[in-house]
Amino acid sequence: MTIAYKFLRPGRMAPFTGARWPPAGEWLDGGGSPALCRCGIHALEAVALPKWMTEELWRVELDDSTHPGGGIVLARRGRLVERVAGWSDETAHAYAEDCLHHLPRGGCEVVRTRAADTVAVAATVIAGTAAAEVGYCAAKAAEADAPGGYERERIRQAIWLASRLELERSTPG
Amino acid sequence: MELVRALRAGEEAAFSQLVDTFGRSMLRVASLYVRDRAVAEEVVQEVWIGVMRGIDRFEGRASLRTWLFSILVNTAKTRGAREARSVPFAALGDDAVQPAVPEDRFLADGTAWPGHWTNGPAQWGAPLDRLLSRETRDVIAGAIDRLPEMQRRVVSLRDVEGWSSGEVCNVLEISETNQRVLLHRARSRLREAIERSAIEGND
Amino acid sequence: MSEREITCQELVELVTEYLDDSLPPDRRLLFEEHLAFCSACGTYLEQMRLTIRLTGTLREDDLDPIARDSMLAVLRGFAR
Repeated sequence: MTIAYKFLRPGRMAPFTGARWPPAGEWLDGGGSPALCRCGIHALEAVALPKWMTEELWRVELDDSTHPGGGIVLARRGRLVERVAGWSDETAHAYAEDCLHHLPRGGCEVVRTRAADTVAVAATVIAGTAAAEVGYCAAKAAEADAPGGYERERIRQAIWLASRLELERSTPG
Repeated sequence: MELVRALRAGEEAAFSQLVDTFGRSMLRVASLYVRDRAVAEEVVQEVWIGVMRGIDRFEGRASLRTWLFSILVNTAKTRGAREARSVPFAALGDDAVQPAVPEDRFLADGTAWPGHWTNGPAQWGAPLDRLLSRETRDVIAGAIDRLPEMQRRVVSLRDVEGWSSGEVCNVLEISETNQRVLLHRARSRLREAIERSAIEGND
Repeated sequence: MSEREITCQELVELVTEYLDDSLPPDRRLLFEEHLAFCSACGTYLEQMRLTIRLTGTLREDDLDPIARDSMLAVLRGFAR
């Protein structure tokens, strides 16, 4: 068994298919041989969390999983274990503030414009898509400042989140 | 199949069921090939005759619906080809490649976010019940009517009649890719038409 | 093709393929990654879904009684 994470919309709704996950403890079958974006249960390693933020963050248990890369975990079936308690509007706001803190100062005009856009969004952030947008803006600003900045900022964000939420790294079972 | 048996037996109830189940849809599909409403009705009448003449030989390997519509499309195409001589060429062609959303709605190169929405799509503001109205249906019907011929056919069969992509490709004799491109263009125009009407309705 | 991301302008051109479930997996991933943070594109996708749904309501119109009667008349010619 592998532990990984899943962001869902309120009421355990999968954000793209709209399908509702069963309550914690019940297995959900992925519907066949897992294939990226085609079939199977898709979950996240801690490193990928900043890219997919929605309202609810869940810890999930996966059966027969693989890691195709990009922080995604694919499995034949999975079940929700519990909500990650620390993920809340408050945490999302703190996350946004922290991204702001780490924005490159000065630099070229494009960078400053991107930074300004991030500031505008961060003020209203709650857990959900808005938080994801802040992370995206911050990563783009970092890239404009220095090549490779996007990836570095994404990793920094993931580390901040993992630490704040006290997440374990996904453990292959 | 029960309906087929009842049609063979000439039962009145079967005739009603046939007309009520398929009639409206057949008229719409006929209209994709012949512009004139009266001619479309004639086409459908020809199909009823063809169906009843052939009902004893119908083996039921395909569904009644598939059989009905294949007769309909053939009849409509033949009739449409006769009418087509008076249709201006421009109406049959496809429009020049137009983006799904006008370019000026996105930030240009050299700005902070090239390719991103400047302000996002307009909020429609209308609650769902107001959109699920006769008025909106008329707006959409009008917009479909103004589409280039092939876009009109694809979006009507896919989104109005609910046919699958495979069925549409078969009947229109186009590839999946071509069908999807036409559908994409048509839906983009319909979305715009609904948007304009939803926004105007808010004033 | 390995792009790290797609723009909103690119996304709106992919919507039909996405809804038809015919985007190749790597494109679908990029599409959903973008949706995950872009509420503007989320709105656009919803509007497109709504457009399709509203277009489907054209199916609800009934056959007008006169047309219905003439169709039945033709069929009755085959009554046994």
